Amino acid sequence: MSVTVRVPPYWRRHTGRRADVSAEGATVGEALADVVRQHPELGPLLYGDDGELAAGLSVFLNRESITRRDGERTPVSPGDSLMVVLAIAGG
Amino acid sequence: MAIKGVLHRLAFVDLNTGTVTYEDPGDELYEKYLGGYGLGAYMLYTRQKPGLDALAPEAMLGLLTGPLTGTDAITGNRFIAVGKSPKTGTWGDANCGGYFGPALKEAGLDGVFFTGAAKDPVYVLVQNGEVTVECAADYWGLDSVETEAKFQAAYGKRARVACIGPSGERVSALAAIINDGGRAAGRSGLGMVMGSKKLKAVVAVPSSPVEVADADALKAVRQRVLGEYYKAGNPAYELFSSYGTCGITAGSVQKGDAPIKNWSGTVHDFPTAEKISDDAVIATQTRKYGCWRCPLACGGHVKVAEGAYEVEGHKPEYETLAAFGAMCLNDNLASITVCNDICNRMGMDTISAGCTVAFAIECYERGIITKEDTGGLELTWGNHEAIVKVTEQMGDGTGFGGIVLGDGIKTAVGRIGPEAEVAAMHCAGEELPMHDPRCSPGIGASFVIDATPGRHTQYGSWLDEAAFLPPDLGQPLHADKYVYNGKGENGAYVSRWGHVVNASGLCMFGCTVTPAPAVPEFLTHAMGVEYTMDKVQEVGGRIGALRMAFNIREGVRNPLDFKLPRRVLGDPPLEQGDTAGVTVDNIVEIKDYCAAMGWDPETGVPSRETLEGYDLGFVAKDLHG
Ligand code: SF4
Repeated sequence: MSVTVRVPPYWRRHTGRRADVSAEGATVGEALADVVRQHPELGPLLYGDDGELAAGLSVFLNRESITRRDGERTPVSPGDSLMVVLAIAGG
Repeated sequence: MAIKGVLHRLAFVDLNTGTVTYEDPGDELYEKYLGGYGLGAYMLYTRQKPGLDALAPEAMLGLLTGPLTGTDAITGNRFIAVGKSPKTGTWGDANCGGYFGPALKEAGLDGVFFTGAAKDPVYVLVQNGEVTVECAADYWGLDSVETEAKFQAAYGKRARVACIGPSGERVSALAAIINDGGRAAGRSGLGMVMGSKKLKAVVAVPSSPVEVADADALKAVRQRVLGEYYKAGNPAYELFSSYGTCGITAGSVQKGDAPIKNWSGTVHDFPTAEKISDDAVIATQTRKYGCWRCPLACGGHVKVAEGAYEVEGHKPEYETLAAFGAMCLNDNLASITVCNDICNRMGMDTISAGCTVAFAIECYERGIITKEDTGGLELTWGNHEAIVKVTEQMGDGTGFGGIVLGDGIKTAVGRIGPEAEVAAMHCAGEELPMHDPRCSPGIGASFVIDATPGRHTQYGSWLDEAAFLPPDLGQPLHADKYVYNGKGENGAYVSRWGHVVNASGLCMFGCTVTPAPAVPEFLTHAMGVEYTMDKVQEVGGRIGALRMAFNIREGVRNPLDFKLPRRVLGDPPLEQGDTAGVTVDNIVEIKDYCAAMGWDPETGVPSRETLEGYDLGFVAKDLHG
C-alpha cells in the first residue's frame, strides 16, 4: 500500500533533497519503517534509543495528528499522505 | 581597568539644535547593563521625563550595540533601537542584524541617542567616533534601497545605513528602521519615532575594529562552538543554514503554531502551505545572505518573475510568509515576495503590515467594509492581487490601504468603527507575531507580560515549548505545556537569559544553536570581566525589572490590564487541527512568572527587595517611595 511521507526540510539531505518519499505499509509505523529502510540515516532522527518516535516529532496523517488516532498503529490507505514535523518553531 | 569590547563612547544628539555631546557610561554601567536594550533602558529610565508622549520631540530614540557586537562572538552583529513605543505607550525596542551594528561600533560609538526634532530632514553621519548632523533633503522621499545606495555612493561601499523609508517619513505606525535594504528593526513603532524626528538615516563609516580583552580566548570559544554547529544532525543549524526561517512555514501551519485566517482558521483552511514554505522559497533564492560574520547565513536574496509579479529582493522570513500568507489564506509565493519587498523598501514592519491586511480581509468578508470603502479592492481571503495592491497603498500612504490601514490595526478600528473590533488581533496596539498560544501557550503569557507587548523575540516558557532553547541552558523542561501552574520559574529563567542575549548584541537564532554557557564565555573574553551563568541570570533579572519599571512609571502598566483577544487564546476553541479544543489560561502563568521574577503577581510591580537586590535602589525609590 503506497503512501507519501513528507520529511522535514532539514532532513532532506538524507533523501537526496526530496521532500516526499513514497513508502509501503499498512500502518503509519510500517510506512515510517519503510522510509528508514530506504534512507537509513533517518532512523536515528525518527526514533529514539527506546525505539519510540523521537521526542519533539509530530506525525500527521492527512493533516490530523496520529496522537489523536491510534499512534503508529493507525492504518493507512493508498494515496494517504503523512507529514513529519519537528517541534522547532522559532523565527 | 576599562572594560573592553565597548568603546566607552555614547553620542547624544539634540536634533532641535544639531548639538552633539559624548559620554562614557563607565565600567559599572557596562558590567551591569551590557548594552543594547539593557544600557538603553538605563538611559531612558534615568534621562527621559516620565509620561512623555512617545512622539514628543523630547522623547529619546536610541540605537545601541552590545559588547559582543562587532566581535568574534558568533552572531555578534546586532543593534537595538530603543524608545517609548508610540503604538503601545510602553517600553519599546526592536533588534536587527545585518552590517549596521558592527559598522556603528567600528565607526567609534557604542550607541547614539536622539532627542528633539529637526525642522527639516536630516541624517546623522558617524565616523571616527564623531557625529555630525547633515541635511537630508536629497535623501528624503527615497526608499530604503535607494537611500542606502545613495549614501554608499557618497561615503563608500563600507558605509552602513539605518534609515526610514517613505512610511517612516509619513510618521506611520507601521514604520520600521531598515538596514541592508531589507533587515528591519520593525517592532514597537520605532521607525515612527525616527520619522517624527525628521531623522532619515544614521550612516556609519567603519574604520577601527573593536578591541576585546582577550582576542585569542574569544576566538578559541568561537572555534569550539563552531564545531558544535557543524556536528551532524543539529536540526537548528540545518534549519537556519539550509533554509532560514522559511523552512518552518509548512510545519508551523500543520501543527498550529502559525495563525491562519486572522487567527480563526486551521490547516484545513490552508492546506497548501507548502507552496509558500521551505523548498518553494529556496527555489527562488539566487544567493544566500548572512549578517556580519554569521556562519548560519539564514537570509537570502530571491528573484521572482511570475505574471504581474517581478521582483528581486530579500528572502521573506517565516513571519512574513505567515502574515501575508497563512493569515490571509494566500498561497501565492510571488505575491508575498512582492509584499515583502514593498515593506522593505517603504520601511514597514512586515508582521504589522501583513496582520493589518488580514484584519482588513476579515472586515471585508464580514461586510464591515465594502468595495466602496476600499476603492474597488476586493479584499477576500487569498485574493493576492488585492493583497499586493493594499500593501502598496499602505507603503505609499494612498487609497484605502494608506488612509485607513496605514497606522495598523488599532488605529484602523478607530477609523472604521467599533464593529471592526471583532477582527482586531493585537495586544495593546501591537499586531501579534506569528506564533500561536494555542500551540505554545507560554507565548500567550509572554505577549502580555513582557514590557513590549505582543512580541515573539522576547524569551519565556514558550521557547521551551517550541524547542527553541539553546543546548545546555540548564533549565529543565516543563512536563506538559497545557498545565499552566508551575511554569513561572522556567519562564523567568529563560526570559532573564534572553535579556542578556539581546543586551549583548547576539542574535536569537544563533543563540538557539550556540550552547548556552558559551555566551558568558564570550562576554568574559570580550569585556575582561568574568561572567557566569549565574551572573547572566542576575544581569537579565536587572534588565527585565528595569524595562518593567519603565512601564510602571509611565503609568500604563498592570500586565493583567493588557488583554489578548479571546480568539487568540482559543475562546472559542478551534474545532479542527492539532490545537482543536485548546483554550489557553495565560493569567495563571503570568502571575506565576511575576512571582518568580520577584514582581507583584497582581500588578507586575517589581518588589523593593527585588529592585534593591539588583542595585536598582533609584527605581525602588520611584516605585515604592
Ligand atoms: S542567524 Fe540569520 S538573522 Fe541571525 S545573525 Fe545569522 S544570518 Fe543574521
